[in-house]
Amino acid sequence: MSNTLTPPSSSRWVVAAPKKGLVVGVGDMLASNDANAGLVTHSLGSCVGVTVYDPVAKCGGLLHAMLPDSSLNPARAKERPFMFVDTGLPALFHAVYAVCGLKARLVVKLTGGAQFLDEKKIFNIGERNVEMVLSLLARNGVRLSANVTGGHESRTLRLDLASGHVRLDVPGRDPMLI
Amino acid sequence: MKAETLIAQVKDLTAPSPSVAKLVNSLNRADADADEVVQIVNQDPVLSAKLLSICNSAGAGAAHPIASIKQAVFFLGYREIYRRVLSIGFGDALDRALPGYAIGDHELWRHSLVTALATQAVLAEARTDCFEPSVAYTAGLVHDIGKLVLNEVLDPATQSRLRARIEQEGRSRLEAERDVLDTDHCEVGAVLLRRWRLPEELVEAVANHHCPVTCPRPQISAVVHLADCVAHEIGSAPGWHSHAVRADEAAAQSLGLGPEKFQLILLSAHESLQVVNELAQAV
Repeated sequence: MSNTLTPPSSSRWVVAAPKKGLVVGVGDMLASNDANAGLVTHSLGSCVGVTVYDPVAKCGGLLHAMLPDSSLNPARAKERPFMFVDTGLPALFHAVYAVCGLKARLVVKLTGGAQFLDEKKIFNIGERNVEMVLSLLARNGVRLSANVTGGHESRTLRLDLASGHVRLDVPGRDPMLI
Repeated sequence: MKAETLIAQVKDLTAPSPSVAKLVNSLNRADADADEVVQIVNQDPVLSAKLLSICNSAGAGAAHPIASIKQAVFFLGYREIYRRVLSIGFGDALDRALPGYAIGDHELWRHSLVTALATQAVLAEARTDCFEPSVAYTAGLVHDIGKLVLNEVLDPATQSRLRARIEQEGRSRLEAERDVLDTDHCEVGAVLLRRWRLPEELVEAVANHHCPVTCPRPQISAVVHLADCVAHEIGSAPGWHSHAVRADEAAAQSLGLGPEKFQLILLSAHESLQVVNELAQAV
């Protein structure tokens, strides 16, 4: 072998296409089985972010819900179910079933619910959002694999659909896998 | 550093055109009428052209082309015209990226407009009728104008110090600014608006939008403060510190806003954000 740095002339290589970043807005949800994509949502304050992932089918979804209870404005909930936890969470699961997710295999993770806006908890929206997610999951016999909530942080949440890795970015800190 | 010193260093922050200032003044009076609005807008060709282009955009939904300001006022109603005029007038000043705040193009403009609209949502739920909604709207629109100045004049080292206070020590943006600069974006904004000769009521609302005045009765600053918090909460300004604001309990209480009303305000402000996003495409 004359020069190990030169690849043999028969070698073939391909540059991977960049990952698609699908952005989920406030009061919105997205489910996909595109393993070349990542779902991301920014600025989770007192809102909650829920990710659901099926590691076998490699599909999943992400919900960014703003308020706990749709009884506040049922008409609005009908129009935008993902605004509220109680209507958005079931819709998230159904959307993941629709892209071939199986309930028994789903890995569910929860974040957000910060109290940044009101330290004295006058509005208490973050905590109530989290409580609503926990009670709905418990009622449906779904186990939560990660729960990183509360605090005063603004979080960015990412779900990688190839690996199922869920990453949290908080300004000024290292990214964290949950 | 004092607010005056900081403002003296800014070179290219243009004041809104005189017709915008005139319009703000005229609408702050209770007896303002549509004719006066038409007259003022008609004196400003650039403003008129931009206004007509918005009225005729696909998003506005006019059945017939709108060719005069009078028709535009008739079509939109003069309060709506006023809103659009403000967003055009201050839009030029607000519509720029602020790297020091990690705020991109259009984002401050969008946050300002959402805050302005959120003041209406707050007033709709609040237990108060002591001020003119249009003044609260304007105050919401210009409340962060001090950030433009700070962004312009602070060197990267100072901006990093601010950032460290917020991220590593968990301070709110206001505390960090006071610590590092000995002034804050509220004070700087108020000084600037006073220099532009805008009404004192407006200047005070901007000056106090993070420490609202609630005694002896809730002032406009309380409304603007809550609207600002709501606008941050729904993600209208996704800077790295966007959530470094704290809601003032007394402001909410003085306006009679409990958890449920606050949620209704959030919901309505979120609808406004959608509208603003559509408007951003039309302008």
